[in-house]
Amino acid sequence: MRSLLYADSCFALRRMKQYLLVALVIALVPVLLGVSRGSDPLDIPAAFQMMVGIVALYVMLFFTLCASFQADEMGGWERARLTLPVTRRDVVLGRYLFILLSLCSFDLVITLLGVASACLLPQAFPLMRDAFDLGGMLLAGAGSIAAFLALVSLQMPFLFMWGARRASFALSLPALIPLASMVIPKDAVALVARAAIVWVGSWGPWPVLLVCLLAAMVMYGLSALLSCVLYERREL
Amino acid sequence: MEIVLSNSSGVPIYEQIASQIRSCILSGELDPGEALPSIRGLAATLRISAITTKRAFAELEAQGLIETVPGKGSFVAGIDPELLQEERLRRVEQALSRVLLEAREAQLGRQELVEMLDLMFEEE
Amino acid sequence: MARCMESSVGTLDLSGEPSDLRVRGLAKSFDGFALKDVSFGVPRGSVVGLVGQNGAGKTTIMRGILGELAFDGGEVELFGQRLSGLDDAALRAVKSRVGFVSSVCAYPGEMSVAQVATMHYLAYPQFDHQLFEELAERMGLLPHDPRPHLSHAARKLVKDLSRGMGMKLQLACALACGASLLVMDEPTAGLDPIVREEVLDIIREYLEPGDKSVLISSHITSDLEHLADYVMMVDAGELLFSCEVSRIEDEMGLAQLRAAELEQVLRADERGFGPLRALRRSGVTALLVADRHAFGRQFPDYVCDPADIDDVMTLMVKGEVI
Repeated sequence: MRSLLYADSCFALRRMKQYLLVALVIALVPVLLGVSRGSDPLDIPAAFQMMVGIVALYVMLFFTLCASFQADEMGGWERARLTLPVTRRDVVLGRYLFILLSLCSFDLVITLLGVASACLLPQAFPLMRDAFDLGGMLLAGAGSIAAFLALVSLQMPFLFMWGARRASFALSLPALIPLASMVIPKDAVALVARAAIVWVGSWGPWPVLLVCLLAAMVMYGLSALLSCVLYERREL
Repeated sequence: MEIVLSNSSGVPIYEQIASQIRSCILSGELDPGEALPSIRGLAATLRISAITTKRAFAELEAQGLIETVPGKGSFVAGIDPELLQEERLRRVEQALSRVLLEAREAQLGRQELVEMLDLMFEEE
Repeated sequence: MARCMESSVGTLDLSGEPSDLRVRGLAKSFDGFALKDVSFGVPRGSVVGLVGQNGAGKTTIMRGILGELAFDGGEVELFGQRLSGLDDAALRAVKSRVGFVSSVCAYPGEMSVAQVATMHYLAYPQFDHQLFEELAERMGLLPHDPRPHLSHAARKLVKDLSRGMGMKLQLACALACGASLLVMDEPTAGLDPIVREEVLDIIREYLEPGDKSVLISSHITSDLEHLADYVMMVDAGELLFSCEVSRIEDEMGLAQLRAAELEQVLRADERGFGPLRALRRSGVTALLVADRHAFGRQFPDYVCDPADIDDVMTLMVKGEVI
């Protein structure tokens, strides 16, 4: 399985290098814009703009990972890799593991960037000190892992069952996120957000997060098992 | 020992190999006890199947010209000098029968043939 | 001799010899094509060549042997172990002893040569990086450098490799991973004769110790004539014949006969030269003879040349038994 993880990482790193500059711009511009206006942390629209940037980054990661599936089918690699001493199960579990590991390391990088900005930017923008708090960042980081895993768990079985070409509808799911952010009225989001904040406030954010993470991991695990079964029977 | 194979001669490859090695042994080019290339090594050099070289070696062994030691390879057997002479005589006989055939076609009589032979002996 | 001319399956009985690969009764259906009851073995230390037209089933057989595709019926045995009965760990262990080379380099296009080698190193417990570098340098994939893995050539991407280089990369990886069985699907297709000979020489070297085997399919029958010990022919999903290559070269013949001559041959009382297959072409009949020496003795005036694999193929597919 190590060889498959290695192959996936070679591909992902090469793709990410291409996206990196664009991703950084997309990530930082909204943050800076939001900050320069001296935002209040509970000012949803400004915070939202920051979120869009981060979400765009995640979308980039997502497309990179999905591109792995597409790249498999070019040149016959998805067949050729089975001539290595790996089983079909190794292929599926390897891909799931790879996505999990990529996600965690990506998250770590984003969080570190956030921490760095928190340390550096407040010096330029004094109001920032309140806008960034470490706890909040970690919460957001862990929360996004959960969300990502949940989303991917839904898509992967389709991809393993039909392959990237026939299951391309599954690949376009993340495109809905930025679309949704543009289409859904901001008031509705604010309403849901405030309700969520209240709920989280009553329980405390960390237990809620733990439950979400656990649920996402279970979903991911079940998805992996399903994909194994589906892939075993697939004609390449 | 350089073996040259002909694809178009019609003679089976293993026979070509066996006869060329036999010539080398009988002419003294290969000394008794000298190691022959391995079956696969020879097959690789000649660009043929190892089954063919194996067959050639088997035939040489059957004729008592080589000995195969398992694990070590094949070696030229010590040639019985009587056997050697017998082989040489056989070759001369063969050559003579070819000569007689040609002579018949050229309509040469026995006397003329003997004269030719005497001349050639003198020249040597 | 007649064995070679039968059209039944599994005509060459190699069951007594230790085989690295043995398949029995393989069957697979696609739409428009079906593999039927294919059985053969690759004895240890030998080269078995697989010939047949495009779409005859050669690639299907090979893909199935490597586990890329599941057969509908039949059994694959690698190194004496049935693949169907193995658990994951055992399956990996068996597969790690098989190397595969295809005419098309299917490694991920965005990986570099050095990365492909590393991937094999991670996949095969016996991967020898030194051997990989030696072979790669010899075949021109990497330069003769003290540290070739750092060279520009090592960073070349798979998608930028020419067809010949792509195949050489596969070959270098397959040999460096310590495989006991090499399965090759048209490895020399589309390559010039010089490169083909290089590749064949490397395969011959690989075979020298005597404990490695090769299963190779090819259209270039002259390559097989200079490498293979046995040849098998597949047509429309069935195994038509199998025999030793030397039998074809040393014993079989292709006679070209005029109508009157053919009559004579057919009327012959004793057919010491074996059963016949014929192909008629504008008045002249090409006749495949199992023993050309016997034929030559019986009919010394008729044209009878040594047969080659192409002749046998043509006559087995297009000819008729007479």
